[in-house]
Amino acid sequence: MKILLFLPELTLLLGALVLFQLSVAGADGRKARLTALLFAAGAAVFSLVCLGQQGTLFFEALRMDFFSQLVKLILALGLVAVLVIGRELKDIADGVRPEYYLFMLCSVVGLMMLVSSAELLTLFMALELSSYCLYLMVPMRDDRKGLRVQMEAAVKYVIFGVLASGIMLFGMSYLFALSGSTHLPEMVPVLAAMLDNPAVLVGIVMVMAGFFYKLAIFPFHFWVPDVYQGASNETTTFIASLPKIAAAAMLIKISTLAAPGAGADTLVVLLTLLAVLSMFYGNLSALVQTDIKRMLGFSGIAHAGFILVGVLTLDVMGYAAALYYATGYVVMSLACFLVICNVSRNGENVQIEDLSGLYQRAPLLALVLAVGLFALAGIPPFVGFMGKFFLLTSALNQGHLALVILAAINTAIAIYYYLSVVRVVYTAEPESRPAIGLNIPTRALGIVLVLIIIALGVLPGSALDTAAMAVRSLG
Amino acid sequence: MEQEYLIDLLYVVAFFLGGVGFALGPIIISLLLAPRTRQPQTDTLYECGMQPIGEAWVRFGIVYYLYALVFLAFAVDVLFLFPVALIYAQEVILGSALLDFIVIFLFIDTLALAVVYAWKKGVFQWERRV
Repeated sequence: MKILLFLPELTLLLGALVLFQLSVAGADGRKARLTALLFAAGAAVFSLVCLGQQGTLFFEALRMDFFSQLVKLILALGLVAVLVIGRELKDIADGVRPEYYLFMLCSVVGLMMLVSSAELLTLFMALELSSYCLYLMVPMRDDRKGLRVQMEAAVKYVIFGVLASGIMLFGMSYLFALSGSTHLPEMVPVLAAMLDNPAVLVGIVMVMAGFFYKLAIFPFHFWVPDVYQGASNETTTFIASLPKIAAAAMLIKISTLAAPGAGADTLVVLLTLLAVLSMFYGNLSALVQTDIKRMLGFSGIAHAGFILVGVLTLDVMGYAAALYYATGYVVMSLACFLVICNVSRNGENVQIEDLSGLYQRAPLLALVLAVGLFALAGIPPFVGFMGKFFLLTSALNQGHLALVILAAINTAIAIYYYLSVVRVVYTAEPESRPAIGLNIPTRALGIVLVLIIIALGVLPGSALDTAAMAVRSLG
Repeated sequence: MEQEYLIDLLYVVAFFLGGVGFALGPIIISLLLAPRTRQPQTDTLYECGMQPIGEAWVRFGIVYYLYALVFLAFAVDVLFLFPVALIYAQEVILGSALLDFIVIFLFIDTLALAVVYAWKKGVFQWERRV
């Protein structure tokens, strides 16, 4: 049954249509949220059911293999988590909530099509679908101070996004001109044969630029701090989690175009440089932040550098480690943003000092945040540690000694700013800050996220095997 | 081969000269034939023969902007229908004629949703917005 291949996307598209009807009928935010949650849960169930399905769709423009099905499952589960975290949408006007959820579902459809695309134009369309929805979600925040920071964030996001898309299209034109096809399976053998031609490498790097932008790798990172700060907490939760894993998956897919060999050395050197620059830039800038969303934004740049370490090894274990780490990163950032969204009373941004005494005000939130930050810092037994460990081992196996040393130094820098937040949470006095009540779904989600972070860290074997199996299915 | 190449080149040169002629011709003809007088109209802006009314620095109603956006929803997408229109009558694209029809209908229908949305949100009500 071919429809099974496309069932999660279809569910979400149907959800988007229903939300459209709700918006036209003028329904309130509660109904819209329930609809979005229902269809997201449906998509998650269908992705799980269809996990083993494989095949091609739409004139082979979409190719569903285990790799894409696995990432689709993670995306659908992540969407459910984002909807639970943003169940109150404190900073979005009630009148535009149906549209807000509509764009969120459409964006995930775009990401799902992106990871299963096997054709350059489809890939570009899917990327733009997911990006445009995000561009629209950013300025939907209420204008509380009259400063229009959300507009500034949205404009920066759009302009940098269009620039990255332009570079990517230009790179695609190179690859098409050299291989005579836009279908990736037909391009791989042709391009692999002429990898010593500099135009191939330039094309591949330019196509990668689109995903560097999504993942916020160094020269394409400018939007991150301002968009994280200007968008509402719930929107930032979405931007900081789901697109990252899709972008990491696509970087892996694109880099399989350049099989390891004589010509690929330049690519590896370039990616190494970008990874190191991202790590240093992200970590050093995060040291001085007072707004926690900005801090997590800069730390996201550093983590993107780590994911790149796995990609640049150009072998299966490195790719698997990158996928494992990206998944872990999604869970870790969801845990941190769960806390931020709940600490923020009316949807305002959260400063690090606002977290003072969180341990007394909401012990569960304090625990979730501590686990999330410990994991991001890379402290055992959490997923962040195992992810970094696998990434650095696979890089060392390929002989990137200098890169491994620099990455290890970065881990040390990062520990400082993550743990200073934990210090504020556990040792500072709450003063006049009130206790925070939590509803049951949020509590449950917090506990589930903590358990996933620990489980992925303690028992990484099967997760890594699954990731390796997924990467091999790209073959 | 060589001769063919030269003839092709000749065509290009001929068309190029023709183009230049068409561009320069009116200027030369008007230089030769136009009456050399100077009237108040000579110094006014040329607006396709219309009398200019007022200045160009006036404020437009934002309502026009919304109309332009709705227009855009169709203007660009019509381009995507041209390739379909070219081969629709001759061959079956997706396996059966019915399927083709449904897919194209869905495409246009999705575009129509944009207008439904604008309509329901009151874009077509003509009122001043500040």
